[in-house]
Amino acid sequence: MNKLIFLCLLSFLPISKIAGQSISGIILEKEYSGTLDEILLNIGEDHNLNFIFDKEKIIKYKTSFYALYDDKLKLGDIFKVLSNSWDLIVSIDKDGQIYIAESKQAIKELKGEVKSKRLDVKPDKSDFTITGIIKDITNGERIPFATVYIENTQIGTMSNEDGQFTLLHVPSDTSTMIISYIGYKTKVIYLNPEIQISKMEINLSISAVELDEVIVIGQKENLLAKPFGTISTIKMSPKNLSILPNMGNKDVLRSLQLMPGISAANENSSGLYIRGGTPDQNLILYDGFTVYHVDHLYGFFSAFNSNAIKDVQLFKGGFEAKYGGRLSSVTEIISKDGNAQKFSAGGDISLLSMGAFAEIPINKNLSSMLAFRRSYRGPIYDKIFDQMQSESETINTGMPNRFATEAESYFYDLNAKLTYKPNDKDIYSFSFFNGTDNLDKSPKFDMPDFMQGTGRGFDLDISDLTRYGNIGSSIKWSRNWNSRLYSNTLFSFSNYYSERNRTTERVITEEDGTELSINEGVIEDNNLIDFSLKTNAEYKLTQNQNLEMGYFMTYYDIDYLYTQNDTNSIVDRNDNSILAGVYLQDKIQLFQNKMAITPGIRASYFSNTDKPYFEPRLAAYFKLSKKLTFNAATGMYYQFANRVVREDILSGSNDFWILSDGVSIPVSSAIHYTAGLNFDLPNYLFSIEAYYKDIKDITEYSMRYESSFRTIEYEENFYSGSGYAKGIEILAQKKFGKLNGWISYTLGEARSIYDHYGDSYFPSYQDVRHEFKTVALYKLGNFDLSATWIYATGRPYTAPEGAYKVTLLDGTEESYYTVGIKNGLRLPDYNRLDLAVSYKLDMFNNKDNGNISFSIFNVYNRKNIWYKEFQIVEDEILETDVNYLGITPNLSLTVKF
Amino acid sequence: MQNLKYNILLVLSILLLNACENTEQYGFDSKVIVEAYLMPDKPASISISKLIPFNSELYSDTTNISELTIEFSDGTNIYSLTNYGDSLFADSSLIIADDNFYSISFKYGDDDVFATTSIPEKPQNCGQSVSSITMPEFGGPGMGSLPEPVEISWEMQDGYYYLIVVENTSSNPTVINEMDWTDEDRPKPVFRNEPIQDNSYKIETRQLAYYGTYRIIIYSLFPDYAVLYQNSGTNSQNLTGIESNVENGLGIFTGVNSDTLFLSVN
Repeated sequence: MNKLIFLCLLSFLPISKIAGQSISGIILEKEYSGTLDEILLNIGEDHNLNFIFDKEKIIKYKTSFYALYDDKLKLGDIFKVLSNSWDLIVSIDKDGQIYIAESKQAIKELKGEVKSKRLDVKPDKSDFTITGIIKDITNGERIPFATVYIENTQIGTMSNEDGQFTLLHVPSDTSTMIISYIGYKTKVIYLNPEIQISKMEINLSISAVELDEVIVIGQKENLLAKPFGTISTIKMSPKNLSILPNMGNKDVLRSLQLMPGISAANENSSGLYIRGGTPDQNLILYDGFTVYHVDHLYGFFSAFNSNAIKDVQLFKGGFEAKYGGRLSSVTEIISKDGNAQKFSAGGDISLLSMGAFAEIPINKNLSSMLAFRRSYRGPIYDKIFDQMQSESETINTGMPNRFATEAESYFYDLNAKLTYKPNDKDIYSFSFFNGTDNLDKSPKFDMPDFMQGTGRGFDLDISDLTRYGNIGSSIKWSRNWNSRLYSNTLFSFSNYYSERNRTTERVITEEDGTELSINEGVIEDNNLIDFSLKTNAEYKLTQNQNLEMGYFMTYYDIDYLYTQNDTNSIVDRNDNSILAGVYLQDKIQLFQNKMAITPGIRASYFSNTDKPYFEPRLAAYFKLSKKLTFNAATGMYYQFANRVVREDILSGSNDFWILSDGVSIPVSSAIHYTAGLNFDLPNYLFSIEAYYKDIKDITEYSMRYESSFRTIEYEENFYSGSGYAKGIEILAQKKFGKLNGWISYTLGEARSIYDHYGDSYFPSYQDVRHEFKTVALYKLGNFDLSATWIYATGRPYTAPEGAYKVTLLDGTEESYYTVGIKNGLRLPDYNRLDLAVSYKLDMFNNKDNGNISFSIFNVYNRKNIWYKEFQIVEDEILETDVNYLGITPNLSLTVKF
Repeated sequence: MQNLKYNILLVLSILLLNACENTEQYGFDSKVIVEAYLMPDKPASISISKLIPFNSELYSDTTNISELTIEFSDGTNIYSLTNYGDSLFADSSLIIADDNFYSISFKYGDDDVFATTSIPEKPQNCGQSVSSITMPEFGGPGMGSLPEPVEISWEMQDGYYYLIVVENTSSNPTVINEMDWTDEDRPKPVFRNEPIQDNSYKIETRQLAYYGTYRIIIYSLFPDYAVLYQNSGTNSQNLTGIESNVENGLGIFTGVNSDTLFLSVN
């Protein structure tokens, strides 16, 4: 039977509640419009009714139901329309289930399928394979990494990144199949001998109403989750992000920071500090290409627009051989394909930015998605920008200040995707992303025309401009060759750019028209280009053995230029290199799937060092009981491209990417050891994980030990060291219910050792001893209330040992500091409470029209210290605290139609 | 009950870990600051001072500077400098010659402080594009144009840095265009560039905000001095110390040489 059975398993409320009244007499208190399946779904949700129908058969009917004059619209009226206008048959059984189909035979089929299990139909087949695709019912979006398993067995799998799955060795065709994914209702399908077992299409719906605790299955939506049977992995669906408090935008990376092991106490970095690692040690893949820079506006926001994102997976450590090139972790972001069924669009506005998004089905096989967001000089942007502006040193322009006017500054991002599905087997997609910040602090001058009538001109152009961002694109071909073999091939391009211009240009035009240009100041320019080609393939050797293999090839071209006063180039470097390799891993399930081990190896060749690198990996999973699992993983990790942060936060983004050369910048490496226990109850999750990372050959850039003031050799400023990070993470989560959320605690330590700082370990900048985070979410009708509280030990910092003054040759006095032990002191502990209330908009009888939310960041206006400023006044060193943001309210509105 | 026990144990161990954490503090070694520019034909003069402590509770430096014995060597003889007041040590009879090596050494606490330098050559063939400029009348109708930049040139030598200091010789100079400047942004009568490795420097006439005669000093310098222009940062995230050529101490002990030009602004 080539059709999909749609089960509207909305409610298992006691049927007695319905039995006492006529179903046809139920009064519908509002209008319902849309396609018939949507209308029935909405009525079902509103009145706790179970409609059972074949979606494909009724999706063609589109209408609106509303009451005329003062009459009340009854469900029976709708049944009459179905019967009279469209010849549909409505049948209500004794359990109150409502079947809708085009013929009596079809009704029987529907009833047969639903009740196959209950009627004890004899199984026809055993040990067979089911293949299918999992989609979002509202827009046809394919759902990656959803869990599919057979109830009461160990047989299960996960959909791949294209939403496809293969379930081998299904014991019988009367089994119960369960499909779940965070943010969506869990779906139960009772198999029967007639059900289609290949290319099954399973549609999941987003939970729109929270149901009572008596619900046995269905309705389980979650914001962030630790997938069952995985280690150090966090999944997030951005669909429900708007219910969390936010500073200006709902932000996927900020939300991940609420989980254990990921530091939340740095407001100026949306890049992730994971398990004592730095943001550049976290690989960020967006639709397969690497994103090298994720910050907007000094790092207070991330460059990823959640309206464009379908799925986020974070691997905190011990990750698979499929991923490489980073020491710490992997964040994989998959963007939406776009609504394949109908046009949808929307927009949002907050006190920080405004944006619009659209999902456009071009034809049956081609869908598209477009999302754009741009900041405006609203209260939040100005608050952060002004804070940075006031802290930064001002350029001495040599011009009277009364000529100065205000400069323009903004960020924007753009996401676009085109997906083409010519047949059941192939998917082609093209994805594009660009996030750019333009931070312009240049004083602009309205120059009086001194030289009017003289024929000579004078022009002054003072720049204090920082422009950075990432542009990336990928073309991907995925193919489901057969039920066992799946592959995807991706060609991608990524470009990170950072331009910093703090110069004064004077142009003098002579009477004869010749121009003389004089440039003073500093120009910094970093440009990284990454072309990559990779293929990943998955082959299900047996039900218990899943092979994954692939190759990858990346060409890097990185330029870094640092010039002073036009000609004096301090650093001018152009590097290019090829990183290429293969990987292979085998997931082997043993002892009736009670244990799984995944050995893997990644072998790379890096042309800059002309050396091969081998990274063995091993992950293991043991099911100690039905609810208790033990996971462990270890592996070797290499990093070839490094981001070097210049220690000057006031200049905005002046970090730069460089390639290892094996000499002054060695290839860094890390060994991960991680182990954990998960106790997974239907509504609760308790998890504890421990990790240890041994890190070698990390590089730091410093001008501190410069031997003399001369043209600096690039290599001289790099220092290599090593370090370690260790910790324990604890998570207790209430997954479902009106009140849900989690509490997390991380005990961590990250220390480094560099020869030039001495012969002992010192705390790394990202070292946080204790971090406690709690998230509480409460649902009240259309309102979602949420609260997050964060507490973290203060970060280490370097304080001066003392200060002194030297009189220069022109008679001016300059102050200098002597620096104490690296990171020898700690800032006070960080803590913050954020609150939010979000109201789900419910217009045009549509359940997902967006929301309006109000949130307060840092409710009790805690003055968390960002860094310390030092000043020498009358033979004393004065220390001033520069704080992070105080109380910041935000109002945002998202509208979808 | 068992679970409760574990929970209590967990909470207790977290508290214990918290309590055991070391308060990371540290004491400081005392350091002395030396400041000396040795110029040909001028007497030897050195300033010695103490470090301003960040945390005076953790830092003690009881050395009495005026009691220090500063030994000054011209490569042939060793002299003991006389203390003139708090921090100044000098010998008016000891005139710096431009072809000697000089060094100082003294004991400061437990440290043997030592520094050495020579005298760089005087900038050669110094010249200027004009010796006099006339500024236009500002404020009235038909404002004139600013004169072209004044170019100062010299013969560059390898390894040297050059610093230009421009100062108005009048103690109370007259401002050229009062209307253009507020008290805060008016240029000072003295200004300078950062040390450069070049053979010329252009003085923007816009920088000359006063009438009168300007003294233009062209210094030839060693890299030891140029380091002083490196930004040592002002906050806990960018703080860096700068290199000193004084062993076991801080500051600068260097020879400098110079030539002087004059510019008249009417």
